[in-house]
Amino acid sequence: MEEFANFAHLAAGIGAAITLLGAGFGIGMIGKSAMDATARQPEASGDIRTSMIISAGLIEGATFFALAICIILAFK
Amino acid sequence: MYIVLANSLINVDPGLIIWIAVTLILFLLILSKFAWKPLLSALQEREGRIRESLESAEKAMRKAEEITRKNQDALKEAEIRAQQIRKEALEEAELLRADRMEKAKQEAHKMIEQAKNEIQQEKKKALADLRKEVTDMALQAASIILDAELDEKKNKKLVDSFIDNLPKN
Amino acid sequence: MSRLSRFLFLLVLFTTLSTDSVKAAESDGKDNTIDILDKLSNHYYLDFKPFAKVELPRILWTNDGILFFAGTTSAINSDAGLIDLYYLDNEIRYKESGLIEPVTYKLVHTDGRPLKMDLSISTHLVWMWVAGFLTIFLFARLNKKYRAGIGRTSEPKGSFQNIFETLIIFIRDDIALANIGKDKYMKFTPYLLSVFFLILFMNLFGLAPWGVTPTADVSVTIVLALCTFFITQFNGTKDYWKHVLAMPGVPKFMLVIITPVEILGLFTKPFALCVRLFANMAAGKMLIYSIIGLIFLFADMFGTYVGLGSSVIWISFNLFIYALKLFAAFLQAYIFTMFSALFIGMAVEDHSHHGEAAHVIHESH
Repeated sequence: MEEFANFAHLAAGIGAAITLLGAGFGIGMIGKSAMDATARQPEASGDIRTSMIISAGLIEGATFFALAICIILAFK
Repeated sequence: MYIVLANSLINVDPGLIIWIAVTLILFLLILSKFAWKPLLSALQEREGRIRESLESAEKAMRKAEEITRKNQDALKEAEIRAQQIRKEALEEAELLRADRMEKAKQEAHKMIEQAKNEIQQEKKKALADLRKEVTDMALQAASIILDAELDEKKNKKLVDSFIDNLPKN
Repeated sequence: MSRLSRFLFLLVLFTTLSTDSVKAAESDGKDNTIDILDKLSNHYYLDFKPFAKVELPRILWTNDGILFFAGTTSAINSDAGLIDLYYLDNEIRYKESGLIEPVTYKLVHTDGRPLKMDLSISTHLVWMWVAGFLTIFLFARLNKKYRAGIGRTSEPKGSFQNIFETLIIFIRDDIALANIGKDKYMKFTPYLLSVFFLILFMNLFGLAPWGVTPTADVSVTIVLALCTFFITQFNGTKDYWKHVLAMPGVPKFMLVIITPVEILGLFTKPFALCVRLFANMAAGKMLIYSIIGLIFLFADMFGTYVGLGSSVIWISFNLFIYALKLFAAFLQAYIFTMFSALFIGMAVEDHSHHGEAAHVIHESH
């Protein structure tokens, strides 16, 4: 049982890393698109920022589900 | 020890939840009743006043613009009218002058004509006088020269025919 | 394997005050250790290290009814049959003389049975009260100014009024009005404003010396998220429920899949709201302690002087994280308020005159 607990720690670390890769990529994409859109239409920058934060928050929410699983694994 | 710690991070404490819920509800009630309601209404009031004054300022500006435009229109109209009047006056003056000129010319003409007529009449009269005088003088002279040789009747006839043979004028 | 994972976990869990005390911590496990997760968790005392440690009153629902105690020490030393969990595990029940000192502050009955409910005043609750009183105090003062006519008839005066008025107008116009719509936003603006300032102050307390961030506790964020959840559901229009239970314009057989997903979505939204706030605040604090812990880890691995020398790097790095946390405190308060407004806006929206556009928005969330 002790052996498996250690594997759970490893899984938690790897899981957290993969989660952050995905989330980072996703939020990066949003940031890129928002920058592009702001450059194209500077007058709409306020709206773009708001929707950027909303979508980044939604991605973050999904990430936290994964991280919660990682935390649970880490303390197994 | 790990397990105890893990519990403390993501463990849900029902006692704390009850306390927090009670606190939050009280907090929301107190704050929304005693802080936000008057605060938001004050903000709204101020915004309303600002909007109102902005609107009234805009209205006043529009009114002023209207007045300015009206004034300008009136000015333009007046100018046009003045120009028209001046033009009319000029025309009238011209007409008057021409009329006067015409009249003067006519008068002058008339005067010349009259003078000519008078001169003509005077001339005629003078000629007639002259003829009579000449006749008389010739008659006298002839009578003096011829004396009684010829009677008066014959003489006169002679002289008349003489005069008639004289070229006229 | 065990050694490796233990080493990795050392980073997060065990950081020691000095090189010598690492060994002491190995054997003792109590003194001179910085227990990061313990720093994050809820306590029944206010810790003003190194000056004082103020025990908070305990309210315990035991088998004998509800009992009140001035502090944990008096609870253990009373004859109510309560004992610290630590003594129960270590089989030390009674001390020969003097008062028994609490260790874990988790109380159980002397026979090992858990309490019915622990309704004690705890650190997070106290700091939430502080945040709440601070908010009420600030806005009562602000209100006095408005009542006096400053800001009502004239322009706002002073930085205090200007800062808070800017924030209030930002929340009212850019969060409430933009997400809820001009027909109903005034009804929810007070809630959004209260929640924003409460969360903001709770987040900022974590940056103060001896301060604790109550929002780094799931129990606190759960209540906040549930509040938004109930407000959303109780104010849902008929259209909203129609969209949840039977999405119009979708074939009958697809409803079998969509309706459970929609109903699940009702609960995942507040769950994400709760976990986002909690995880952000907890992670920030954990990061600060972990980076401080690196000093001691280096001292442990390469010697005291390397630890001292490298501390310059870690502290300057920590300063950066601190600034980031300050930003995150505002950002998370904003995001919580923003998402609350978004969910409320989705629930109170009248779909009738939006047509197909509303469907797209609804599904994208």
